[in-house]
Amino acid sequence: MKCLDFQNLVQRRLDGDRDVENGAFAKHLVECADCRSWNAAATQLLTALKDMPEPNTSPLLARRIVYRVSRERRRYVSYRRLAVAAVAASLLLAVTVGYRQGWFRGGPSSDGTEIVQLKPPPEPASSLRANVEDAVQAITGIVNQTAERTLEPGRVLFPDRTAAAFLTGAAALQAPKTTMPSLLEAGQGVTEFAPVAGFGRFINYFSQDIPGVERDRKSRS
Amino acid sequence: MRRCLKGDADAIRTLVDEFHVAVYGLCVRLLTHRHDAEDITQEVFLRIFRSLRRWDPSRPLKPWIMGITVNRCRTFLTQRSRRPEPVNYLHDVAAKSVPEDANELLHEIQRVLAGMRSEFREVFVLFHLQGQSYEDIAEALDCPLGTVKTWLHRARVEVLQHLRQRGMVDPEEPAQPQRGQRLR
Repeated sequence: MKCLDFQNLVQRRLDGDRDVENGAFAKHLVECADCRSWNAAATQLLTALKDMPEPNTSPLLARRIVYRVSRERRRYVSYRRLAVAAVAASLLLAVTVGYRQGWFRGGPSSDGTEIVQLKPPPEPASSLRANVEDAVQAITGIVNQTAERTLEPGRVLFPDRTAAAFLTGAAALQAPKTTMPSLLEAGQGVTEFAPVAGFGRFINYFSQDIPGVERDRKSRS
Repeated sequence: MRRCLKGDADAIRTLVDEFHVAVYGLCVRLLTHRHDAEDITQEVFLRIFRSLRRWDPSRPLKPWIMGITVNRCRTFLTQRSRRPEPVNYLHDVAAKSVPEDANELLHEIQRVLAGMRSEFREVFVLFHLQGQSYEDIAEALDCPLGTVKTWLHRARVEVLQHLRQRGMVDPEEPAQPQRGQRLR
């Protein structure tokens, strides 16, 4: 028997195999001092392990373990109940909000089946009409305001007239006429009034009654 | 186990009474410190009850518990900064008195176990001190059977070599082949 085989038998002996002691084993034991030493060490080990005492367990250890485990289980159960309650409350809140917002409505029909009806959409015509009226009023207001500002420097000439007196609903939206009334015509109560839209018109306004200038304007045009 | 899952206090107490000695013994032998072993034992049982739903009832319970214990001890050892002291539980033994020469031999064995690679130590303790089979150890450590046998073989070689080097064995003594016995 070789030493490697002998040491394998020693390992089996440490496993608890009682069939390793045979003739070849005993013969090699006598022949090889090193293997004899290994076998002696294995015998010592087995004896020591047999004599090794059990660790002395504290009598309170089991009680402490049970206490800790029970406490954690109680905590786990309370957390789980809390989580379930939170989910239920969230669902209830969502349903309540949805009902108040009108996300779903239902009622029994004549034959007993429940019909889910949606809210009708708002009428577009009335809102559009209202929007147009609002727009007209806004435009009228802006025009009046602009006229007031334009006329402000001319209050000296027309102290009794307001912008509304020169403006009518149709006249405010019409394009300005090409012929400008002169100052004389304006002073005689002509209701038509076109705001001065440019420097050229401004000059025409004040130069119409000047003979020389008027002829020049006419020749140029 | 079903009653434990439902939180039955008596079932929990029964389970703890059945396994707490084995778990504590393994913790002491791996951690070599009694107070640490008590703390880890409590943590092991907390993990057992947290993971009870994941345990497969078709498989034995003890290897599963031993596996949790070994893993928890490994985690603790990697976190522990101070060097572990030699086991002190020998002084607490009240069951039987240990002969002085045997006591010295035990100290030598524990010294070599403390300095051994962790996998070798775990397998050695589980087999020789906890009485677990190769199959149960392989299941507890979640490794192949051949690996367990290799680790145990190397652990034994280290222990035997250490005993020979320390002069605990007389090589010239004609050792009579004794009937091998697997302890406990």
